[in-house]
Order: sequence, then structure tokens, then C-alpha cells
Amino acid sequence: MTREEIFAALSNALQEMFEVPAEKITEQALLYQDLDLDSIDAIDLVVKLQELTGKKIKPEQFKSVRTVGDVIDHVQALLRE
Amino acid sequence: MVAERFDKIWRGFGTGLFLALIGVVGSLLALTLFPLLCLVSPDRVQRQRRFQSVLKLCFKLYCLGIRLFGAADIRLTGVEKLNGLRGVIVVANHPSLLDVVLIMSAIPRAQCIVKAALWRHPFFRFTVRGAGYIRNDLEPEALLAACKETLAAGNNLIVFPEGTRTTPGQPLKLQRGFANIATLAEADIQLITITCNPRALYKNGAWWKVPARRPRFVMEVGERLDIQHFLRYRSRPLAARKLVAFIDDYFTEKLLDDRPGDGSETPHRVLAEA
Repeated sequence: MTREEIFAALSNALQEMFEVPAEKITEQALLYQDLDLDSIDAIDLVVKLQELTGKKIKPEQFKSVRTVGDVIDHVQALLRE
Repeated sequence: MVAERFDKIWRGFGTGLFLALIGVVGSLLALTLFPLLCLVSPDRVQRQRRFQSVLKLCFKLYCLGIRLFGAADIRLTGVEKLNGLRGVIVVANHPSLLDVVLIMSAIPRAQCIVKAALWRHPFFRFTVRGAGYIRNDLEPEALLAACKETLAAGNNLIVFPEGTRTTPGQPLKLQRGFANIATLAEADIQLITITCNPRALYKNGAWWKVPARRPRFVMEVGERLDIQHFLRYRSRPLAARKLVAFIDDYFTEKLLDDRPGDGSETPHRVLAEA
């Protein structure tokens, strides 16, 4: 998956699961402040990313994630493993 | 005029007295009855039940005292809906310091999330430990797990989604935590609306500045929401957001005509202003 493809899939998931408006979703957008996610939402997002990538994600690894771009970096690293 | 003045001083004295009683009687109970209750009930569940019953009675007597003293009027409506209430999240608006007392005097098996500082309090730590309350400094996941467990055990969890008392004159601002608990634990919601008119014991208000008229607290036990209705949305986070929006609308509508003043307004003055 290219970075663009991951972004598209993630953007889709954010809109579907959290009703985040599409125009707010950029690589720089902060998950908690800009997109109004909370720490429990993050767990739901991790589950969704696991479905999308077919890889296991440890919640601790996800703690450092702040922006949409961080999530993409994370997914790319996972897919490379 | 003299009678009004005396009434105001009397209520000011009463307000101070009843606030002090929480500390004094609360501490006395924490040092006498509550350790005793712990001693005679080694079983955790049984201990919690006994604490719940005793605390409910204490808060009932406290409300009765406030009314008999004349410090405030208290009216509860729809309380019969609370009989046999089990495993439900009790969601209320939060205009005053008395709210938690009103709710705890009326609901069975009350459970709350309490400031962690009380676990270090010399006296109240016996109360919060014995009652098995949930600390507010737990990590989000641990807090959720504790809420889930207590709801599954049949306790009713009291939550003020505003997180703190309402700032007078400002619209309510609800946080999403309670909706996360509700959607994850699949617990129903019991709505409660509280008003206090003229306003007393509100946020940023000094307790000794009592209103010109005797304040009247009204607690209305409202609808019970079936969480399954919200869980039909395509994702859990979405269900939580819809639940918050629904309850936001509910309180907004309930409080539409509730604009408490300081009690000095008379019909004559209201007419003159209009």
C-alpha cells in the first residue's frame, strides 16, 4: 500500500466511524484536538486498523501517536514488518 | 421587612451549618460506624451493599434536615421509577453542590466516580474504600473496566456529564466519557434533571450569599434510555456521539424556561423590565 492509499483508507475509516468531516482530515490534523477523538475512540481505531492491515497492533505502541500522519507512519512500519 | 431579613440570616446560618455537617458528621461516621461496618462485613459485595444503604439513609435525613430547618425547599418527582433500579448509568445535569446528595438520597445501590484525593483524606478514606467507589485518577481503560464491573454487579453509576457544576448563564457542555461507558458496558441511561430557583450553591458563587427568597431544589426523575437503540449505529464511537447529542438536546429542552435569578426579582420589577 502506498502512503496515499493508506491515507485514503484511514480518512474513510475516520469519516465512517467518527463522522469526522472529510475536509478536516489532513496529515497534520491532531487526532484528539482537531478531530475530537478520545482515548477510548483510539482503541476502536486500533481495532479498525488491525482489520485493515491484518496485523496485530499493541495499544502501547499507539500511545505516541498524535496526528493522522503519525498513524500512517505507524501503519507503513507495520506493513513493512 | 424584618421577617424577610431574619429569614435570610436564618438561611445563611442553616447553609453554613449543613455544609459543616457534611464534614463533621461525615468524619464522625467515617471513624465510628464505617470501620465497624467493615469489620462485620468481610465480604466485599455485602460490605458495599451495607454502605450503600447507610449512605442513602444519611442523605435522606440530611435532605429532611435542610427542609425542616427551612434552609431550602426540596422536591423530588418521579422517584417511584427508581425502585429496583439495577445496573444503570444515572445521568444528571449539575447546577448545585446539593445535586449528588439529592440523587444519593433517592437511588438504590448508588456508585460514583470520586476524586482520588479522598483516598488520602484522614477520615473520608474509610468511607470511599468501604463503599467501593471508583477513583477518578485511573487510566481510561482501567476506569472503564471498573465501571463495567460495577454496572454488571447491579450498581447504578451516577455521572455528571458536565464534569463540574454548570456555570450560570452558560449552555451545558457535556463530555463524552459517560457515553463511552454506556456504549461499552451496554448499560441503559436513567435521566435526571435538577433545577434550583433562585440559584444557590452554584459554581463560582459564595455559599454565604444566600438568595433573597428561599431556594427550591427540584429533582425530576425523567426518561430511561434503552442503550440498544443507540447501539444500532454503524460503530461504537458513533453511537457514543449520538448519545451525547441526544442528551444535550434533552437537557437543553428541559432547562429552556429555567433561568434562575438571585431571588430579588419581584413580579412588579419583571413587568417593569418587560
